[in-house]
Amino acid sequence: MANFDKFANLSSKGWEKIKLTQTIKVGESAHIGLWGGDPKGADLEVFGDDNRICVPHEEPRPKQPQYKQWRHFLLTGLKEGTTNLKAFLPGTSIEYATMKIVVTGTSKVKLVYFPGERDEDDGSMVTVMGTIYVIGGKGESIRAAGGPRKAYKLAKDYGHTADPTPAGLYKLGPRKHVIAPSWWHSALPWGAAFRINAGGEVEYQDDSGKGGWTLVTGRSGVLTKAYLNFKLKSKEKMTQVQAEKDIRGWLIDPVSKKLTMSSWELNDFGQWGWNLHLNGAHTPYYLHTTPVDEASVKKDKSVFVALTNSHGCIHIDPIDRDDFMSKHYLDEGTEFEVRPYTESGPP
Amino acid sequence: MRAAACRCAFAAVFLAMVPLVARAADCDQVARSFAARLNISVGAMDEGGALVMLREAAQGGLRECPDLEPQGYTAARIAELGYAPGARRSAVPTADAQALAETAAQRHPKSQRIVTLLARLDGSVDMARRALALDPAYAPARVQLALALAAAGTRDEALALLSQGRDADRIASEWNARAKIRMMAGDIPAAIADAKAARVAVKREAELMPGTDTIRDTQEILGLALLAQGRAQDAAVHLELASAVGSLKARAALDDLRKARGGKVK
Repeated sequence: MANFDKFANLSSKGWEKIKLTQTIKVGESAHIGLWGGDPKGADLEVFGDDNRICVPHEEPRPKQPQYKQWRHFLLTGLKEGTTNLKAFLPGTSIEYATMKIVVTGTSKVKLVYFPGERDEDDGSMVTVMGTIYVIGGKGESIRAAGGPRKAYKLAKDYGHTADPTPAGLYKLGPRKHVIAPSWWHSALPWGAAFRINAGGEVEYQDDSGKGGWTLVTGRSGVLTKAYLNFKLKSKEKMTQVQAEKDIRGWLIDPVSKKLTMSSWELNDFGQWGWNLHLNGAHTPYYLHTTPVDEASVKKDKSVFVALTNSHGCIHIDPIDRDDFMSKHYLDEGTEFEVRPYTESGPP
Repeated sequence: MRAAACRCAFAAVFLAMVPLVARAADCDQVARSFAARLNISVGAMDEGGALVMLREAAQGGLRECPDLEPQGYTAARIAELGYAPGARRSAVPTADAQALAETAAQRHPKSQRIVTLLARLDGSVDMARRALALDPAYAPARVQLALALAAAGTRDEALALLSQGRDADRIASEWNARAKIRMMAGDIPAAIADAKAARVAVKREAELMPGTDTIRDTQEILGLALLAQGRAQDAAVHLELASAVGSLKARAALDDLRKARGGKVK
């Protein structure tokens, strides 16, 4: 026995109990309960018929003992339409409970990110994987990996920390080549063109493309300084001279005196990054790709990009980024909601 | 006529030599470029991604110059860590790790780091002894021999091996290995003490090692040791962190804990 209904203090707005129908507007959400389970008391499997119209996520179970038979679901309306939410006997197509969901109206484009949807292990390492859904679009969604479920600190790696991506209602900042020298590979913008100056040092050209050359190697080179700072903060022995030598040795072949690369494609934030603004202010969190994923896609556009958990930012596939950019979903000012890690699914 | 023949023969020899000279020069450049890259390979935000790219660079170098030891070791080591291009990191060495290590060991039988790596994949005491004999001061070889000895039931010798030298000189892998062996021996308080020492070890690992791996190993041991002491709540804190950075053992232990406590860990 099982049925969908409201329990405890779940809002009855839009709920028609007789018709077992929940009506919500595009961009809004509703909460619904599922009472019961299979004959042995095991959990039923819950699926939405069309997650492009409305996507279901499971909330943590109610703590109150009187609701211990209930499970709690969040329904998010993505685009206009009608769909069903169904609960099946595990491993079968036997329906134990069903309800209708009607999504009405329209909305400006918004993005909603559920970072803790599932733990992907496939017998390998565990990655917490989530999805970014488009509200007010055509029901699109893309995979996205945020920070880990639990925070940690890498004492020997500059003291950087990794944190779960905080839940909140953000807005996307402008698209940019991110510069963040505390990650020393990110002291230079993605794609910066290199040249060797008359003094034999490497310079990079800023985004203007009209000059604006800045020193990369040498005593005051931006990469030298960021690298030295990283090493010293990581409590490693490193001298100014050695730092200069390491960076120069990497970018200029000591024998041929030629550049070993013509441009910088190792910025940790990939080609483009969008800061998640909170109440109009910059935060430490970005939506971005990674250098290895950029390199993989550059070689083969059909390659599977596995995505890895970040230090708190949100990693996406470069192909998805380009797709969303072309549809203007990543325009500056787009609302970007991050939901809590405790919301899991959809199955 | 004879002079012409002689000139032709000289030219033939010279032409035959050109590719060899060119190849040697290229390998020098490949070696220099990779050495420079290794120097600066730390500090990427996406550590795993950086290792995948380093592996690709190493294998690219090996295709041109198969005799380069740093490339041979690096490719095999990153494969041992479970990283391969275009795939999610595996919890075990990638399918080609063994072949990469064996090829590298054939070309560099005196390389302590390559033979140590092969010993880890092999797991035998004999191989681990061979690795340590190449350089008795090489910590990863000492760790591997200790783990192999412990697995073979010779725990006292294993612990003695990991208790040589000064505590301040120990890398986190040594502390973690000793903690594991002490766990196997049932000395839980000593295992916890060693894992705590791993957490604050200052000395850098001697091998390529993602920072999260050290956290994973340390937290996993702490969690399992506390669980063995019956301190489930304390254990869960460490197991959750170990699980967050990829420990499947910690995840399984947490699942067991949840089942035992009707869905709740704390």
